[in-house]
Amino acid sequence: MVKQIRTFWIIIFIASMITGCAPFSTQPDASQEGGGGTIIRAMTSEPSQIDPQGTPSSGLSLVLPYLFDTLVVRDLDNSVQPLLARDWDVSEDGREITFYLKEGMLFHDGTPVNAEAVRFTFERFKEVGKRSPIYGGVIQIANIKVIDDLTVRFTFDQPNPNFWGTISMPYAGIISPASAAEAEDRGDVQIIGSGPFILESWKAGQSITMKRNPDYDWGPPVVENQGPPHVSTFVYKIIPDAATQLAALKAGEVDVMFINQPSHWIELQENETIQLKKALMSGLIYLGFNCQKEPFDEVLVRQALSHAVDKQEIIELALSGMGEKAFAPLPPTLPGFDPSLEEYELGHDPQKSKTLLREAGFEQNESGKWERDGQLLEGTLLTSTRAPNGEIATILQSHFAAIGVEIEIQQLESRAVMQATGEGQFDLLLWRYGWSGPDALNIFLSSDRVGRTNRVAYSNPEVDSLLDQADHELDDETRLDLYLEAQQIILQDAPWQPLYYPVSILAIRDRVEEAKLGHMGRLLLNDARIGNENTQ
Amino acid sequence: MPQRITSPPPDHKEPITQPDPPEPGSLLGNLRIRLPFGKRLNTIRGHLTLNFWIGAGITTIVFFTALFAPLLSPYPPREIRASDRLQPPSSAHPFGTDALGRDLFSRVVYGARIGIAMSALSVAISALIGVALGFTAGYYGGIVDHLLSRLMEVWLAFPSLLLAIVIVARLGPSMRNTALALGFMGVTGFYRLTRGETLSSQEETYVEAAEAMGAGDIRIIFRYILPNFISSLIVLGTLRLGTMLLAVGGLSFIGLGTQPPQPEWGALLANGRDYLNIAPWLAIFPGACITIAVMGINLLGDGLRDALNPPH
Repeated sequence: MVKQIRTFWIIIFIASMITGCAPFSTQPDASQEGGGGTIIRAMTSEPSQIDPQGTPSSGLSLVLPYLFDTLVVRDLDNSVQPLLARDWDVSEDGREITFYLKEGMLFHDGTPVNAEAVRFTFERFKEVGKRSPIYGGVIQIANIKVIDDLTVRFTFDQPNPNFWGTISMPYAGIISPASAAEAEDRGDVQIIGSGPFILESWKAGQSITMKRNPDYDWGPPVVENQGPPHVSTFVYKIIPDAATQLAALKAGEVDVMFINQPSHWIELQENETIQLKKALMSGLIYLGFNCQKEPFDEVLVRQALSHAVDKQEIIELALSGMGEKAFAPLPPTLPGFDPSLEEYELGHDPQKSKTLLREAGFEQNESGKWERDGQLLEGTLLTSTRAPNGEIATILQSHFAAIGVEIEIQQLESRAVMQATGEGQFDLLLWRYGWSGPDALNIFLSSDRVGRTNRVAYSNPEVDSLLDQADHELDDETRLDLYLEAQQIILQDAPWQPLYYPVSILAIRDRVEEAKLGHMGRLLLNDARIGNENTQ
Repeated sequence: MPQRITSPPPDHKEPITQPDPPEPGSLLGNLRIRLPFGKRLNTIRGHLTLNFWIGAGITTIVFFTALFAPLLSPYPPREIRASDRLQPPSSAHPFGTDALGRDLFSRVVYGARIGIAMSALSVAISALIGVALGFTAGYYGGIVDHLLSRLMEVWLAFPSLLLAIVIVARLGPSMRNTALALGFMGVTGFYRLTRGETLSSQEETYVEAAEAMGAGDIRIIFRYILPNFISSLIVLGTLRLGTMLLAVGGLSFIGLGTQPPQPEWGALLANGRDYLNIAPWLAIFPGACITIAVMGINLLGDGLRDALNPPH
């Protein structure tokens, strides 16, 4: 009897479990006409403050484009497009740029976006923005003059073609002067802008919630909808661990996440409810040689080692295809990139490596290692602990071993790597840069930056002079020619072996429609809508 | 000839007629000979628990693997094979392959070698420094003891793994630096054991007798004091070996141990974690190896403690 009662309860229990698990309805809210709904995006680390001119961080650069507008933006093809500025003039000598602002724009605090706000933004930047990556570009502005309410003029001591790169970065977002004054009084860390979303709440360590800006009607031409965004809320959920983010994405707790692990990319390719958007980033991962240390200060040695590298294998094995093979120091997303540079590439050719080493005076000993005057050709490859550097370094090590060069790997924390390169304490370097303009070459390879951003201590007076000319050349064609010529010499000198251009991959759940990737892989939400989930 | 004159106290565990045995090899030899033929055969047998035999079995396998890694691994552990990428376990690759097409079984086998070598080295460093300082403090006493003991208390106050992380971060991660840092962290245990035992043995009559016979400090320490607690040292060393194996794995897991492409178990586990959803074998096998090896060594340590230091 007791047994039967127990069986009965077990059946009831199982039945209720089964019915309870069945889908009783689909998503209740979201897709009413006119939009609405919430998009949730995962964020790895939150910003320390919301101030475009404050300490830069990955969190800050993720938040800025939605809360702040810049004068101009760049489209996918690198062309400069209007945002707050409807138009602009550049003077003959290139030393004056006048911006004409759109009418009727308001910051989220209700104050107008005007010429005075633009002037205030950049004046404040010069004072507080010392740590910002675009500080170097901002301090080149000699003077900012308010011509009338909606017209503002920037003057420079020298023509400054890279200025467009500076002011289209999210860090150059125009801020409300009233909010800056208020923030200073209160010792606050939240500055107000005029972007398509308004900051609603920020729960430290949990989430940053933004709501639609209903007054927005000055969207850039890079999106279809210049008015207020369709979705009513956009939330950044702070999830530090990538594996946890992935689980949240698959469970539907998060709609958008940034993919940086090859394994996650492989896994999501088989998931039909998730769209993967791939964009080429403005950056480069390269193998660098310490150009001031023997024997890597010799061009022949650098060329020989460059020829040993099989980039395709790195991309397939270490990245699972999450990268594009590089041959030039500048990526295709930047002006100055030229497909013709592929001829100058030091491609995979182990035989050539050996020929070049012999030419440099090295002899292969009986164990297959290269020797010159009793000195073995060997070295240490320095890189950061960031994935997938360990795997790339391991593959490079095997490539060098194949031509008979023993390389040891040293993985340090990023800051320690930068300190070591600053002091010249390395032989080979696996490193990356990300930049918004062709002046990346000036920053990372000109000799006045040796010991700082020129980590490989490369120095060639001819290249220096070409880069310097290009930096101040106003005529686009001449400027690009100068950069092309500089890159041809750089590829011959081989301070860097360009390995691959990084791609940014955003995984987006199917219910988010019309989300686009903009310049530098930025997620544009102006056109986004919430639809119904296709499956499940 | 002090040996003949002094006689061991009645409740003394180890016969002090043993000549000074400073290296671990002869210690184990001592143990093996004493177990079957010694007088105390039955008592010791009684304490050799099942745990001891399981632990001894696992530890032997781990050491054997470490010793004969080149013979046991079917592929070179560093060989990259693009065509064999992320293969699940099969007869060709018993533990599967990783993202670079390297055979995981071979890497795990070599990992045993690295893990055991690094943890043994760090235990040796701990023991060497700890025992030397412990003798100094316990034997000479006074201000030396006072200073050393305070120093050890400060040392002990730091969370040891955290301090090891700081040291490795300063020195730069490498196998040698990690073993050094972990070795320094383990000094206090050996120090306290040695100091305590030295202090208590010093009051024994046979030490007094040896002193009266004119034996030097070194002779007294190694002939009359050390043999009293050599078994406790073996137990402590074995238990520390398990802890160190885990610590080496932990440091490598967070990128502060071995450098790639060294197949240390913790590093393999960290690498496997990224592929947990698509290639779970990459994390499961190294993880299981760490668990089993550490468990085995700890069981052996516990078993040895029960056998050599039976509770009164």
